[in-house]
Amino acid sequence: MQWQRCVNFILFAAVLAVAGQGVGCATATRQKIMEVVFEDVPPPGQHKPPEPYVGHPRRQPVYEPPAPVMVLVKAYEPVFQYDWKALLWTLPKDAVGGIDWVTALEDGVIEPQTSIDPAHAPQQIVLPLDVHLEPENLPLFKVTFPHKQHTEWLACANCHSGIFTMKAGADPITMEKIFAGEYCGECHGKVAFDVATGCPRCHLALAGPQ
Amino acid sequence: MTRRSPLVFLLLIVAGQVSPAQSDDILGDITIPREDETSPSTTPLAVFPHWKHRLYFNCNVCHETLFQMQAGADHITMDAVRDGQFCAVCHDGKTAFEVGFDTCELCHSAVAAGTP
Repeated sequence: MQWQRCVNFILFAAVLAVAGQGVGCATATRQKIMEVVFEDVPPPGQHKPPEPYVGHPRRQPVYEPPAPVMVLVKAYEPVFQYDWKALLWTLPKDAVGGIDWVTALEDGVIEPQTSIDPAHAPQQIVLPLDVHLEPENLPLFKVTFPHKQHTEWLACANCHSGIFTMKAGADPITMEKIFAGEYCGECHGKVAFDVATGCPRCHLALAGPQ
Repeated sequence: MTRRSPLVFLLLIVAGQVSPAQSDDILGDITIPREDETSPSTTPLAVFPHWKHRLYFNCNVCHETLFQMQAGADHITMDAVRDGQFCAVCHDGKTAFEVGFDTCELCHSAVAAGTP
């Protein structure tokens, strides 16, 4: 193969030329060649101690979702082509990828109305009352029920007294009943965050030391 | 120090892009069953996307004046909706899109099991 030999010869000649220049040339010329080939070459006669290379951690986050666009959901415009997927993407998500409605409301990403008619929207009555429910001898599983986050969405009559009685500790709430769709399970796992994956959001101690 | 192959990197990037919430089936979506189960109708079932409504309204706007909280407790039929009950309280063309023959598929969007 004539052309293969030719290529081999040209490559060999190129290597020889570079090596020969680096070794046999004058110091200044060699310096120039070295600066082209390598970074940070010290001037001739100077010794540069090698610096340890400190690299970045190799495990970088592969993909960061875009930051939520604040205050985008104010009023619905009755149009047919609505980019719900993009809207869903901008909503804050909880640990398992569901929509984090509490954060969305707190951050002002959404501003849900309190009435169908915005002109006569009543004030949502928010009750800042935490109810602590502790099972016997199990302080780790103490539940803190925040009325505030619930009354921002719901009216009192939605839960009292159909689902919960008004007296703290009066209802025999168990996890079995919640998984079966009673008490908290009336909403959680159906429209609110899932029971199976949201443990530390109610059992605050399970989240570990803050 | 381990060197990852480009293929693994590619897979990681692809995996990082995927979010569980990007699925079409979001927690709270309700598919409303047909009133008459023996009906030969091939109209796709209506899906109520809870999350789209939560963006704009508090729970107590609909519950429990328009709809009961128990799924299936209300007998929602197209006749009732055309009469201005249930969904049509808002879906009248003013607050939200009107119930009509050019908006059918906005609600009747369920993909039946077994259909392509």
